[in-house]
Amino acid sequence: MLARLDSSGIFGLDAFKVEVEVFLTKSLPSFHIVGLPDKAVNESKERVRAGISSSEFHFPLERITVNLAPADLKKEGPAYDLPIALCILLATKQLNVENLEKYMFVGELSLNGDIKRLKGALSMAINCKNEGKEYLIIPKENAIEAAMISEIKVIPVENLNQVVDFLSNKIDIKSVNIDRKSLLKRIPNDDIDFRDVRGQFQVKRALEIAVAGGHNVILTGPPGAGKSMLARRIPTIISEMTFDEIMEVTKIYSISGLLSSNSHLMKNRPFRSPHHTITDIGLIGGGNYPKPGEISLAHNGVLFLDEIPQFGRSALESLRQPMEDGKVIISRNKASFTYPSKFMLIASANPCPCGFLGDSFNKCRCSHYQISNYKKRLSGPLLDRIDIHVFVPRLSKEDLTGDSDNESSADIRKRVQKARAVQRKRFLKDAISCNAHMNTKHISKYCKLNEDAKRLLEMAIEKMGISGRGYYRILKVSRTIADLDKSEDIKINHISEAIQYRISDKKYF
Amino acid sequence: MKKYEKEILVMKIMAVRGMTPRKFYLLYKEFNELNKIWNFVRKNNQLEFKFKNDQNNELNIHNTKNSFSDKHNIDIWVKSQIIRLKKMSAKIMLFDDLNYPPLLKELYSPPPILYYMGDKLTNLSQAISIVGSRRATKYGKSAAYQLANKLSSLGITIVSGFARGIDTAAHIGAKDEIGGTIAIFGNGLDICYPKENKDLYKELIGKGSIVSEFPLGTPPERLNFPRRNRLISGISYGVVIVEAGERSGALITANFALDQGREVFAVPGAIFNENSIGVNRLIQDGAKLVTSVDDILEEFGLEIKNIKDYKERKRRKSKEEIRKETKKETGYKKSLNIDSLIKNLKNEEKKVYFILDDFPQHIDEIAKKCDFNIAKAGDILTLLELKDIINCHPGNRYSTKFIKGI
Repeated sequence: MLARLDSSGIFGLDAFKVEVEVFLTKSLPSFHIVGLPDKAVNESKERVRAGISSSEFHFPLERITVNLAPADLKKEGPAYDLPIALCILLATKQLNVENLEKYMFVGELSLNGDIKRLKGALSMAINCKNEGKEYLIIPKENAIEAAMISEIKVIPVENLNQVVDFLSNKIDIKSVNIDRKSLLKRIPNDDIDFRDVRGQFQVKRALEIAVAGGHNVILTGPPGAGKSMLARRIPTIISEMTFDEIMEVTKIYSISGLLSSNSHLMKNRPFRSPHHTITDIGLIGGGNYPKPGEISLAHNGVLFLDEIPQFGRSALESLRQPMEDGKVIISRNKASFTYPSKFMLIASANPCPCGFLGDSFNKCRCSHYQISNYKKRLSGPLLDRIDIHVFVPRLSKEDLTGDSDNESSADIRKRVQKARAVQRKRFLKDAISCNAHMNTKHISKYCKLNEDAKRLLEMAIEKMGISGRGYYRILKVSRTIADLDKSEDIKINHISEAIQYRISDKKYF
Repeated sequence: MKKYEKEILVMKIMAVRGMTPRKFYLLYKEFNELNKIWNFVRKNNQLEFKFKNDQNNELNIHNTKNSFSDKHNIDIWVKSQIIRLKKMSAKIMLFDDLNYPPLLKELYSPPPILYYMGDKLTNLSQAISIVGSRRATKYGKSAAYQLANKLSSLGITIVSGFARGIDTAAHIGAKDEIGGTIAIFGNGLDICYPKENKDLYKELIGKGSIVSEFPLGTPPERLNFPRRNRLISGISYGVVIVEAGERSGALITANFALDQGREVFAVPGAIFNENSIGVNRLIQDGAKLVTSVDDILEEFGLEIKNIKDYKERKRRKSKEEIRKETKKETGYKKSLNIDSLIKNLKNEEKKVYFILDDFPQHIDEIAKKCDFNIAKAGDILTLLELKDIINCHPGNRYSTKFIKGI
């Protein structure tokens, strides 16, 4: 006897239709799953057997063959438990229903017949819609996430018996309806705010410029100066994600199993801070059963590499291409797929091995060679993608104990949003969205300088030994400063401020 | 004598492990001829040799276990040295050369052989050494530069050790003036140590001299440096220590100078600065405190020849007036150039400039003190930095410059 149902499997970030077929023959009892199952899928056998028995159905003593088509794509995860169980019930006539072509089934079974939540529900829902299905039977905990796709009816289920009863029309389960607006409403996070950081006016200004123009930043400074604290607050001054961005990020987090049971959506921009022992695969993604890496988890958000010289060379090298392209391409035998990875990079480093170079109070104990060897760890190509460098000093006692009349993140965010709006307008016909992504063509079009400014920049190049790449970086940063200053032209004071944030050998990064 | 036969003999003798200038002269006194010295040295192993007239002078010579254990190898080595020296246009000066620096000759055991490039060593009239800390501050480097510059313009050659920091500042100050500069290496002439001085190295071959006691290929090992320091102080009338921490190598040079009967000068430093401990202590122990070239020239008034300017002026004016004039020119106060630049600053630039002083301040502080927002402060500080009147220190801290351009 043959039974067939449709399910969904994850490949990369998207889901694809998986046809679950079950074939029973009267032979010695055995249970096989074919279709390149991974270990979790293989273990389905035990869960299905127990789930069916616990639900007071009869588990057939026959030769059971399950096929997960297409046969040449790897299948992973426990999502097929539910369709396999249902197919067995159909094949043994314990469930008598026809016309299930409009349905798609996903769910993990526990040994007592309960249906447990899954990863990648949003992608599966999108796939369900794309396949022209009408109904998606999905674990209750994933229902709200899946219901973001309004074109399908999402049926939340809790256990196997409930599914059988629903399909047999013995009970009715209402499809989930969500109020998109209220779901997307962002709850202001009062926990962290730029106001928490005392003093550090130059750093805050540098970060404001960085976020306004999408520029990557490196923070250097002595230990304890507050680099991590500042980095963590950067997401609070970035504008809120658009609906599409929220969908993208939610997909990635759902597939990685990182959505918490309370939040069905990733509403806030992600902030990822991997430890420096991370491998390249951990950083950019991949592996035997490919998973998104940290850079994809930081998509549309911030990737914070604390103590960047401590990161492995190959891990840092692997960052270069994704930073250039905004995505990472993973190739496997039969296919390649891409994970998006458009993030803002914030790096932090000590200025030298002992950490006290440039400190007004403590003396640096490093020899010249120690310092230059330490600097060398940051490869040129990676530094090339960082536009802004700012030194984070230790706070003076006045700053620590005095009254702070600091700006809040909200105030800074307003200015940033205005500058971003200017850029959106500017780049309407170009393929980029912010100043940091300008190439030389864009720069020569949008960053024209008047005589004064040009002369200043030339003087700076000569006196400060600025390279060609450095020159372009200064132009991009000064364009952002001019945008923040609501000025259409780049004036001399924009250039001279931009020069402050340059990266150079002599300035210790 | 065949060409270079003498040089070759001296090179071979000095190449023996354990050989020092002192032992060389003892052997020379004993055997009188280089040939005989070489024959003696290469045959004998671990010899205790007692000299007739000296009391218990032991000469411990070990024949090296590596390259020079048999005749062939050392001949090949010497040949390659000669070829390489020729390729580099480097020259050899022996202890009995007519051009051998006179002051150096006065030493107890002057180096029997000197390798050099450039022509300052042969045209050496009078020299003064300037040495100091490798971790020099802008203050120290400014002082070294300025003193070297002025002395060199008066015809005095500045000798130093080519090290990072003070030595380099002194070489740079002196190289373009009449007196020029001599760099004494603690390694072979073919090795440029430290590497960052590559450009200076090339310049000095044209504008001065590079000198070394050590054969080509000798790496800059720790043990070589005291010998080099002895040369620095021995070749000149006196040594000026500009910045020295408690255990600085520059203090070793000062000690050599004392042993050699040379003058020791010291430029004082800020009492809170680690780099001043050695130098201030020297002053307490009797080194002459230097605030301008005048303090140095005073000590040699009669012995230094050919200082036309100085002598002329001394004849015509009183000491007091000369002191005033040279002080102005040496610029221990901020130079006139900077004053005129300051007059031309815009008001807001002046506001920022006058907040600054010698002690570096962070940009946040400066912005607060001037009551400017941080963007404006950054803009103005960059402008002032480009005008070359303020210094930017690591950590985005700013201070006024001592001298324009340094």
